[in-house]
Amino acid sequence: MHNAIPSLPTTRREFLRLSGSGLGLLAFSTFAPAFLTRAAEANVPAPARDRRVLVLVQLGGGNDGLNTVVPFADDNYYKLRPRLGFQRSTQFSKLNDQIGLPPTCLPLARLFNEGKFTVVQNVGYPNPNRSHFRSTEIWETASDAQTYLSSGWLGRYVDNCCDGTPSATADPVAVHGTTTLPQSIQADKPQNYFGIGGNSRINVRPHPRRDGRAFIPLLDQLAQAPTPAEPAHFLSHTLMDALVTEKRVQQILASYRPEKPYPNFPLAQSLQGVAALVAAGLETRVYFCSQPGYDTHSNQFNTHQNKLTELAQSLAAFQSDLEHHGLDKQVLTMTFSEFGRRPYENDALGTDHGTAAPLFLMGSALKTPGGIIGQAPDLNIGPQGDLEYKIDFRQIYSTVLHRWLDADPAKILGQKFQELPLV
Amino acid sequence: MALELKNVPVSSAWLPLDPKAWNDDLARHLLRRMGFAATPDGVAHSVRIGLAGTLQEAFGQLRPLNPSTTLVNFRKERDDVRTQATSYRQAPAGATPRQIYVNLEQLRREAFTDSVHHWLEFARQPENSAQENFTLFLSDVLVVAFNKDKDPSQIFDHVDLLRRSWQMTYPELIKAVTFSPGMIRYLDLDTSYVGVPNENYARELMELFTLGEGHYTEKDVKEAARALTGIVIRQEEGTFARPRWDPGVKTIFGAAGPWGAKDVVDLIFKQPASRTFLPHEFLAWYLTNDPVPKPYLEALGALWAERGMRLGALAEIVFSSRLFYDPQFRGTLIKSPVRYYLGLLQDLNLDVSPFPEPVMRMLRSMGQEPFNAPNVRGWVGGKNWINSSTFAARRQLVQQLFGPANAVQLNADQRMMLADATKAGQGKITVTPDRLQNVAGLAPPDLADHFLNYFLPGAPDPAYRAYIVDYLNNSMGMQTQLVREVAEAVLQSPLYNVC
Repeated sequence: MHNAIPSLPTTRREFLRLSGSGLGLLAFSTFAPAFLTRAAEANVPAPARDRRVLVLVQLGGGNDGLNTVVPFADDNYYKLRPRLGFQRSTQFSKLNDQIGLPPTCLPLARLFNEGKFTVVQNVGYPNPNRSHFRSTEIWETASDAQTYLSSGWLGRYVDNCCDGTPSATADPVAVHGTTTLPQSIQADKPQNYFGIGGNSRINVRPHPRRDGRAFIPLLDQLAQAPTPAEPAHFLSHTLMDALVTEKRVQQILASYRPEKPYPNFPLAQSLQGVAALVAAGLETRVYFCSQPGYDTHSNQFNTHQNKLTELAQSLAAFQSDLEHHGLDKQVLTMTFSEFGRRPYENDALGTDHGTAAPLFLMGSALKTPGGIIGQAPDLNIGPQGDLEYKIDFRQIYSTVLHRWLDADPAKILGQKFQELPLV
Repeated sequence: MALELKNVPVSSAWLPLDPKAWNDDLARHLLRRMGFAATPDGVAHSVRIGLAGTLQEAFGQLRPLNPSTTLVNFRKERDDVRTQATSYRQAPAGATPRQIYVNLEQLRREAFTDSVHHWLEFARQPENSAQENFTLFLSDVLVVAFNKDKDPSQIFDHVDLLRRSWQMTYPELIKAVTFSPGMIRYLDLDTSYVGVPNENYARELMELFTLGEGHYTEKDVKEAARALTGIVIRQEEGTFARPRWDPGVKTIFGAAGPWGAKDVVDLIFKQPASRTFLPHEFLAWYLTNDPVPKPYLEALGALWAERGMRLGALAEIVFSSRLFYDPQFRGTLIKSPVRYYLGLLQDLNLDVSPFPEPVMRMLRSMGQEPFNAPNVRGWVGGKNWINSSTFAARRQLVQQLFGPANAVQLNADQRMMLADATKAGQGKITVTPDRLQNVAGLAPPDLADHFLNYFLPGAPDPAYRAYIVDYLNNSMGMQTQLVREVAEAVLQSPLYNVC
């Protein structure tokens, strides 16, 4: 419909074509997206495409660890959860002689057997907070329970490690699949982030008017109209950068062909988007997806197992697709949740906010001997007891930052944590 | 970047504007800066009643804001828990101490979120906008934030103190703030007592509230901290507890004496820097992101001091001044998220969405949760408002306001809230096609001018207008659809983000 309207270039080739067709690099550069002028000035080589990528999957609401990694050999488990717990006769996928995954997590058990799935037990932090908001904040900012930080741990990683390197592309340094910016990637410096929209399905055949995107070509032009002075000039640049990225991402998402269709869960759709962007060779280092619904205060059993079904099938589809595209060695996926839940069931057949819980990592680069770190939780704790954390979540962050993202964890976390044999 | 003020010499910068000069353009400028937007009706009205009349209407009489229902409930619950703290036997049947605590925690957050939402609804009403923008400005200087003071009642009492300060002098306000429970908690005054002074408040008082860096010494801070001991919260009031106060001699700005809290404030306001500190902040909020040259600032500070440093006087001087209306100050201020959001609602004649949590998340992702600044410095503002993610959040907001209401996935609670809001005449949350009907008939050039006048500060480059006219002339589709798309594009464009 608006084909006649020229719009912003999305690739260097298009840019050069536009520059060559009379606009001229210097004349154009005042209004060109920052990445293009930067690249032209610095003559930066194309980025390497084997960068390591971290995918975070948030299990929002507080995942119940004991019905996720079930300590089936512990009598206390059955005592604490006479109605909410699994039956002893359940066909668990045993990870060892103490713990097993429920049938809903069969796809994850398969990955575990192939050495591509690690379970870290009893992850938490000292003086646990039971507020969703605050505990999420603690996990996302990697602070102590008593300290308040505004930037996220990955935001500080990006500030420290990805800042100042001239970029030859408009690639965002982090991409989030949530409607708002997750605090994990909230940085102190302005960073190029991109949201691929919460739980919305990725649209394979875009229809601008029906999708409410018909105004984009006009916005393209308005962004390029000369602006009188600062600060509007600065805003034009920011907007053009965003529009260029947006268009590229839309193109990548729309043209991506996964190995086989992903399941029809929002999380799976988000992960398909991540796979598409990784496959396209984006420079993006961090992806953030979220699966809400783990806050199971009542009638937990089926709700929770349905969530795990979604999680397991989505993660497995993602891993298989990455393997198919030969990308599995460069992608590490990690789950987190603000807290675990109480070991004992409540009167409403649910569980209330608790403390420690298991955390998962997935990827072909994992090197965890036996696939498990830590012991099954100690459930000999009396009727109102709570689980005690054994591994500080920041030990995992520290390991991932150091051994996966090649960063100095002490600089990002503000203190040293003992690392774990993960990757 | 240093600002050049060629058109207005310092000698006449703060002189009152000639009332005969009052016109549409100036009225639009004032309404956008003083409040959040300039609607055609508002502009016409302001031109009719003149500059003095506009200021009188905006600030002449205090418009009180009652606490939100949730905040009232929170206060009651908090006080109940306090009186029962020693005896849980009186707790509601079946409630464990843990549950009581958890309930209260939840109520805290709800009360904060609902109160911010309640404030947004109040500030969105055009007649309250100037007063509440001023309140927000003061809350960005005299910061108290929910991320540290977890008592929403204290936060909004503090905000109310700021709202009521128009007739106060700045030293009077600072004295009141020193005893405001929100501030006492936020900057640890209640943990500061003789022998163990906490310097937090003393330092920020000088650095961020009254003088600015470089206008005091470390010793002044240390000694002032001693003088500021003895302040506690009793029965939700800030009071002086003599036994906790350090009665010894302190030397502050070279003056020795057995100073107390009020003396510290008096000594601070003898410093020349106290005259220019708040004017500097005021101009950064209302006039320009670039620093105003020192002679201009000093002239303003001197005028303000002549008028006894009354808060209202500062606003009156600036909003009536020749400099404020100089044509170079169009589009020089990047809108803050709150200004962008409330301005959009006023420009589109929409109501604040009745769902507090999503509104809060939206503001957070744009980078500004009112009354919850990230730290005591407040928001830095200007270009710091804008990065790719906050800009994306602004654009998402516009698209949400233009989205079909039924596309929003509402849960049962939200459907009820929307029904209630609609009943109360507050249910306009998206731009419906009928809203665009009356402009859809305009010829493309007239429609372009209508939008530019209505939405943008100053006249944009001719190319900007030409793109809009082209789009209307050359695109296929229903006229109302095209008008809608143009509005959407203009409101997401860089120029709508400045005022």
